[in-house]
Amino acid sequence: MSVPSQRYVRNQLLGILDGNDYDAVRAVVEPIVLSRWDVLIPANQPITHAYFLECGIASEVATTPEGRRIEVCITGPEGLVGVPLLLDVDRTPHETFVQIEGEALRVECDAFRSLIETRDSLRRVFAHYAYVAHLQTADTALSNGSHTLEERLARWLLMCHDRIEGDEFPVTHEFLSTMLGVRRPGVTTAIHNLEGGGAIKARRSHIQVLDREKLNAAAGDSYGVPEREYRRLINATR
Amino acid sequence: MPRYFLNIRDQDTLIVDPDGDELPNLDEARDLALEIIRDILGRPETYGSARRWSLRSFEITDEAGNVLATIPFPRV
Repeated sequence: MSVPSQRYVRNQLLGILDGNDYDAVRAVVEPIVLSRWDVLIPANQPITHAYFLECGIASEVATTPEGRRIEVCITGPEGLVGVPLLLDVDRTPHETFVQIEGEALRVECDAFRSLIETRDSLRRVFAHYAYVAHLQTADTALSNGSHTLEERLARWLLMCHDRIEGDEFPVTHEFLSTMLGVRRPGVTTAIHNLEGGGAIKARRSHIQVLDREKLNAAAGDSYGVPEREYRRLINATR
Repeated sequence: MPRYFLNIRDQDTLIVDPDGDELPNLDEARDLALEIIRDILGRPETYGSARRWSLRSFEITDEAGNVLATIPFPRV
């Protein structure tokens, strides 16, 4: 694997950097393969790298002292994993792991800091992403408190669909029940309802998005705020 | 440990539990189903109205698909 030229890079943040900022990133990143469940940022330990996903999805989780986990943010090729480093923070109580396998360009924390400190246009793009990631977490909290499981599931599926190539991704009901913090039979029933409405097709361990419009309708107003801000702040810069 | 599947019977439809739970015995599976019923009925803002759920029941099956127990949601 080699580091692509900016024209071929799939990470959207890297794709919109100024050409000389990209060249500086290109000089210090290393391409890696992400396997499912790989831990990119362990909880409460020094963060060693920032990751720009080229494909795949990473999931950030908060954990209770008893070990119950709930998802607070997901990141794919639209963003970066390592927001704490961007904010000059060296570790976090949250874990980030690979939810859907893929590839990434990673950069060591010191090199990442030096990029941010010396390149203001690059820092600005990454800071906008950090803000959108914060909005995503806020909307997840809003959704957990005010939307039904079916709406939240539809939102989650749309968010994954936004970040993958194609329409199908691996996911079990057990995993969804953990990530959404709900009982598994609730997930199974919600999937059954979305499938009955023709929005998705579920088979063992996989879900395929059949009709995004229907999924959008099922998600109602639980989906879309961070996505709009992303388009306004990041896509619109080029 | 055996694996128990907590399928949901919704009138003519069976909503199949594809994952199942590893539990020591059927009593534990029943207890889990009862705990889930309480949780679901206690959080209608998440799971939807108790009226809708009251038409459903858990059909607990083993790996071979044999129905071992049926636990209805309470009528409202």
